[in-house]
Amino acid sequence: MNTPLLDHPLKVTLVGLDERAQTRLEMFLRGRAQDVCVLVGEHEAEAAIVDLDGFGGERLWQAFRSRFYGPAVVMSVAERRVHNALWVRKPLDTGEFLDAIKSVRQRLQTECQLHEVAQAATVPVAEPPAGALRDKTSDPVRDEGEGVSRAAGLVWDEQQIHAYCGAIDDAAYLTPTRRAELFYVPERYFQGLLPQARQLAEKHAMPVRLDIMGYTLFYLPESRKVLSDIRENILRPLCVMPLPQPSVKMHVVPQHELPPLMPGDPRLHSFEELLWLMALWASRGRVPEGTDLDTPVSLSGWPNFTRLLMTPNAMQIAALWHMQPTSLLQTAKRLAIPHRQIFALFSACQALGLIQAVNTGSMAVPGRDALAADSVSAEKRGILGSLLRKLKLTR
Amino acid sequence: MAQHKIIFAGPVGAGKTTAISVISDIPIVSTDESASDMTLVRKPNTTVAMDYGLMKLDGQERVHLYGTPGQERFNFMWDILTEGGLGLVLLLDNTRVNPFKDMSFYVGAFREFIDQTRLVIGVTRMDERQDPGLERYNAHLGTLGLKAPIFEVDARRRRDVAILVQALLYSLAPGIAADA
Ligand SMILES: Nc1nc2c(ncn2[C@@H]2O[C@H](COP(=O)(O)OP(=O)(O)OP(=O)(O)O)[C@@H](O)[C@H]2O)c(=O)[nH]1
Ligand SMILES: [Mg+2]
Repeated sequence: MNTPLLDHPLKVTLVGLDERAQTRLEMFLRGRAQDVCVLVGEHEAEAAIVDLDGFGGERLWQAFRSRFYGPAVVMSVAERRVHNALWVRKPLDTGEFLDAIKSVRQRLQTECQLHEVAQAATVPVAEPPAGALRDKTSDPVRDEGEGVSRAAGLVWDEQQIHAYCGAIDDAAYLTPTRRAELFYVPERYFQGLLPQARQLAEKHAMPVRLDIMGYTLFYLPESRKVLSDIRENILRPLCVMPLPQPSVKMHVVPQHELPPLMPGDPRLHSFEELLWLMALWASRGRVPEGTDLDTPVSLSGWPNFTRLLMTPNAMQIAALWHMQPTSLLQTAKRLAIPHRQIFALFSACQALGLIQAVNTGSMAVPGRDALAADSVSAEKRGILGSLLRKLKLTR
Repeated sequence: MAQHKIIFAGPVGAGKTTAISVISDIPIVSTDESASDMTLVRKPNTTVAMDYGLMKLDGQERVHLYGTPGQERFNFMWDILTEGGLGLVLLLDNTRVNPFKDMSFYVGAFREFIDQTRLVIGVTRMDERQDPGLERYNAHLGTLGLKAPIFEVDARRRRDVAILVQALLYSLAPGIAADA
């Protein structure tokens, strides 16, 4: 591989080493490996070196993994398969160790490149995405762990909106010659892989392992969850670009090949929450190829907005589609909101199977025009508006 | 001035009292009693008459929040409470033996009110049991000839309850804007 490597020594932190082992490794790093890596504290580290045989090694490693998502080199006397980490045998062989460090550097390099891809794909910078996904409301009762599952929440900052709804201007949606800009093929994106993984897992009633450009995640059919410690700043770039076929591997794995799980493991994500995000990232204001922009859109059920990332005006759009099937182009006109918000929401609903063909039976939603001025009195609208404002405030 | 109110209904222990308390601006007025006989196994307190909470809006406007008692022997209260309400928030407990039966029961009991206004459904305790999922609730509601927003809700989380009530408001009028 000829990818240029990072131009500074790799910053590493040590985990699970007893004092003697640590001193020895430090000496080694200062000697043979001095240009290759430097020891730093956990918060500065780009990578970790972990001794699984040390006192509390395995437990320390699990705890460390739940807060550190960077690459790791794990060492042990007995051969080990460790999810998302490189294993090297103890006692250390200098060559093997240096090779492992080299792989780590290459991986960091890929991350940087992916990051650039994501930057190019979404207009202004949307940094730092991981923290920015955090739910703004503080919730003493159930404060979820770190990671993508935190996604449920309102998008409140302009830059984040770009990441989820794209930045296609309204003119593109209204200009027939620019139609090509409005479509994408979900199957070519990460978004298309996740349902495939689920299908395969359900067919065999076994976990499925998905490898994408050096990153791994699992679909677990029993809990219907996705096991992944890919950070959002990596996941997003992997989702915004069409994936080259050879870069993807998918196969069933026996239960014992899964990384050990802790109760309430932060690496477990709801399939729907993740797929929803992936669809938004891939869509960025576009809809799946073949979608007719003039066919009325109807929902078979509302998206589970308490747990899914809520894009701007999502509730309004859902309410309209739910009560009165309305085409994509008409929706923008009637609600007077940017097309990209509507198209992005459509793609996410489509990914979750919530879009329904119209005219499937007559539901008891009143036939009158849902938006007609007289359907709700002016006084009542005023009340509803201020109640809404109040409910949207976070305490 | 017209009275504005939102009604919370659902079986014993679904989270009505809790949901009202997390969005109310006043300490909730409740008529909880130690649960007797049938409810005792599930929880220590149950509402015997009703819950009352209040949301204060800009100006003098108020929205009253009423929780109906979960136990069916108090259902004489239900008609009185719904009079003039904006809509119904139905909470269903995912860990109950047959939450769909609960849905049918409450939708039936409040049918006239629902037909005149709007319905939203929050499914609670999904943290304790994943199944049945929301899809099946949607399907069951369809068999009752209705469509309504159905969300996973933890009644203890203000954000969940607030989103549920927002969906009720948007269902009443998708065109309303919060930033008016
Ligand atoms: N684990 C869990 N507990 C919940 C959830 N929602 C509510 N609870 C709890 O359930 C218990 C019962 O809630 P209440 O608000 O008293 O229920 P209720 O509907 O008022 O019940 P009745 O007054 O008896 O009809 C409380 O302890 C709540 O904290 C949820 O989503 N998950
Ligand atoms: Mg109660």
